[in-house]
Amino acid sequence: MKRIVIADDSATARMFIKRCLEIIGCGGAELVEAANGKEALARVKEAPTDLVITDLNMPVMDGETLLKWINANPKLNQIPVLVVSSAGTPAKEKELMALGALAILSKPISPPALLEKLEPLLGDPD
Amino acid sequence: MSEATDRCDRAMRQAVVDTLENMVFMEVSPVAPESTAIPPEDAMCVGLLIHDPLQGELRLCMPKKLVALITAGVYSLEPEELSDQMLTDNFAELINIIAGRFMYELLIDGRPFRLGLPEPEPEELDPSAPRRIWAYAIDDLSFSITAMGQTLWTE
Repeated sequence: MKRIVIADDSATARMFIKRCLEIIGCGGAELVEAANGKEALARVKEAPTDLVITDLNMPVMDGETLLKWINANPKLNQIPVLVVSSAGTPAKEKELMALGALAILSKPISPPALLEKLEPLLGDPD
Repeated sequence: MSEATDRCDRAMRQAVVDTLENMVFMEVSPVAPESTAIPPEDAMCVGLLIHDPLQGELRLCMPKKLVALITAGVYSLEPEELSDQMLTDNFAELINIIAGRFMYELLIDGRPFRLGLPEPEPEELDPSAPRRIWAYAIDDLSFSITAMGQTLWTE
């Protein structure tokens, strides 16, 4: 079973992402929620994780810092990180891709947009 | 109206329409700002600062009934099944997404931008400060968005 960590300070946004994941066939995955980057990093360290989906703008630790922490850790830097944010621009996407992000999706996300980014990555979604 | 002001107005309209139509498939129409007077006891307001590359603030004010309808759509629940926490959280997420899309549309050169975190129940706005107000309606429920920070509509 895949393990996916979802980091967003908004419970609504986490629910929305979970629903999109269910629609695209990832409902069988273990979906672990975190309210900020620090919490997400702790969740990622506690068990093998197949994907991190993170917002950028969060209290305590933002998504960009989370991405840097994951990529600086040799035990974690193979984990793909998808950024889902309301602050996405082409320049920001380039910056985040250079930091190791898989892709950036603008909020509100849609299941087809999520599927397009995740399909090649997750293979058998469950 | 200057080109910058016109671009700002178009950016906000696009942001509001995209956000609500994509999130909850609700059709949004612009209305006159004078028509959006919401009794304070029925209103919810949330603020969000724009930090970079322009500085300003956005305020979203909606009747609680409309916040409940939108939140019910997002959660696929009946309005009476929603908790206050769900309403507050979804309302904050709403301004976050609208602000992001607004800046995306406004900054035509695709520059990165930085937003603050949503602030529920913000303090009263300074009545003497310059602002732009836009109003929209979903069915017969109208709401307003106010922008402070002149560079948003002058640069």
